[in-house]
Amino acid sequence: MIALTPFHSQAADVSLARAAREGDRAAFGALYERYKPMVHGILLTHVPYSDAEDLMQTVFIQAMQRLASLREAEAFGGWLAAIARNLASDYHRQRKNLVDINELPEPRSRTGHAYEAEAALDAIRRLPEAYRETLMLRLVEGMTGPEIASRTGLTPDSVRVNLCRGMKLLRAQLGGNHE
Amino acid sequence: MSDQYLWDRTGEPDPEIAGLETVLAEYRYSARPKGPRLRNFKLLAAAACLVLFALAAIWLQRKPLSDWRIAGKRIVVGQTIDTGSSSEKLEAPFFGEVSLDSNSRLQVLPASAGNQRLALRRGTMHALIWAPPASFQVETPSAQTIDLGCAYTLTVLPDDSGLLSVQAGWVAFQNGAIESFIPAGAVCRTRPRLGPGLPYFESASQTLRDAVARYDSTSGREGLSAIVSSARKHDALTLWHLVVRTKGDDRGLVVQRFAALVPGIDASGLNSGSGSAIDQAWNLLGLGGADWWRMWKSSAGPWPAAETAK
Repeated sequence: MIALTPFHSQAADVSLARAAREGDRAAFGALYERYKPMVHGILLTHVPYSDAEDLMQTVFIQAMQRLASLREAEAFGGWLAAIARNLASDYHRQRKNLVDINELPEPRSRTGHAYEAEAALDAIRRLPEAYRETLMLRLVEGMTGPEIASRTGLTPDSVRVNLCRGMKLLRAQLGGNHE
Repeated sequence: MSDQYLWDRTGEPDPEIAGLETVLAEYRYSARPKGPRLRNFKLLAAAACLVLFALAAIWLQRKPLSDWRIAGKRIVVGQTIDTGSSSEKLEAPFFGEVSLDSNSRLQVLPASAGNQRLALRRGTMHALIWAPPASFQVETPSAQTIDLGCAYTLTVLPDDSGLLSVQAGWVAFQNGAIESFIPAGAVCRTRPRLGPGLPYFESASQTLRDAVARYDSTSGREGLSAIVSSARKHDALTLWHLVVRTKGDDRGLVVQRFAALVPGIDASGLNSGSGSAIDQAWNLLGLGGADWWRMWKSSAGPWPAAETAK
C-alpha cells in the first residue's frame, strides 16, 4: 500500500493513480480527497450547486470502474476532468436541453451577500468556455494557478492566460462591484 | 495591479479578487448544507437553535463522535439521519462516502477502529467506499451488507425488504448462514425472515428474474426449474448460488445445467457438496478467484455451507 502524505505534488498523484489502477483502494481514496475540489468546480461550471454535489459520487464511481483502462497514470487529472464534463453533458441531455444553467435558481438564503455570490457565479458561467472552469476552480474552489495546472493537466501557461483573460472579462461583466 | 495574487495568491491581494473569493466561498465543495432551510420566523428559529445547541452540547458530552461528517460536521455515534424532502451526503475521510436519497433514514452505529457500521432503516443510499474490504457494513431489517469494494446502491422498502445493486467491485449480502455474493452489474433482493435471495445480473431475462423472485419468496419451494431452464451462460452466477442452497435431486438438476453452461466444473464434486469443487466452479465463472474471498473471510471458510443451506 502506498504511503499517504499531505504533500500534494504531481509526482505523488501519479504514484497514487498507479497504485489505484492496481486496485489499491486507499490510494483511490487519497485521489478522491485531492481531486474533489477540481471535480466539484468543473461540475459547478455546468450544473446547479445541489446537483454538482450529487454528480460528484457518480464521477468517482465511473472513475473507479474505468481506472484499469487508464493507460497513462500521468493523465489521471485530465481523464477525471473529462469524466466530470461528460457527466455534466449527460445531465443536460437527460433534461432534453431545455434547462439553461443560468436559469436555474441556486438555493441559498436571501441575503445581500448571497445575491452577490449568485451574480458572480452566473457571470463566471457566462464567460467563454475556455475561461469558465479555470476561474471556477480559482475563485470558488480556492485552488491556485499551479494547483489547477497540476490537477487538470493544462499547462501552467494556459492556466495563467485563462485566469488573466477570464478575470478581465469577469471584471467587465460585474462592473467593479467587488472592489 | 499585478496578476500574481490571481495566479498563486501571493503578493499584494487584489481587493476585487479577494472579494469574489469571499462571496463565492459558499459555493465551495461541502461549504454549506443542502436542501431547503427555514427562511422565516427568524426569532423563533434563533431561540430554537439556542435550545437545540444547549441540548446538543449535553448530548455530545455523553455520545462519542463518529468519523462520518455531513458538510464537514461530525456525526454522533447513534445519531439517526432523516433526510425528509432533501438528500444528504455523509463522508468519512480516507474511508468513503454515502449519499442518502430523500425520504431515507440512516443510523450511525458504534464500530471498532478502522471499521464503520451504518443501519439503513428506510430509503436509498449510494455507497462509494475505498477502505479495505469488509471494513464497512450496513445493516438492514432483513440482511447485512459487507462491502468488499467499492460502489453500490441499497434500498430498504417500507415492508423491510431490501434491494442491492452493485456498480463496482463486490458486496456480500448476509443473514446468518445465508450469504449472497454480488458482483458489479448484479442485483440481489432480501426479504424479512428469509434473508438474501439469489443474485442475478441486471441483464438477465425477465423469465429468469420472475423465477428468482418466486424462488426467493417461497424459500425455494417454487421457481427452481424455471431458473434452470432459462439460465444462460451469464446466469451461472445465479446457478452457483443455487448449487450451495439446494440438496439431492434439486442440486443435481442445477449442477447439470451449470455443467452445460460452464465447461470444466467438477459435477460429481458439486453434487456431493465438496468445498474445493464449489471453489473451482466459482473460479470458472470468470468473476475473480475464490482466493480473493479468503482474504477477508474468517476461518469458518468463504462459502455458505451446503449443509446449512435451505
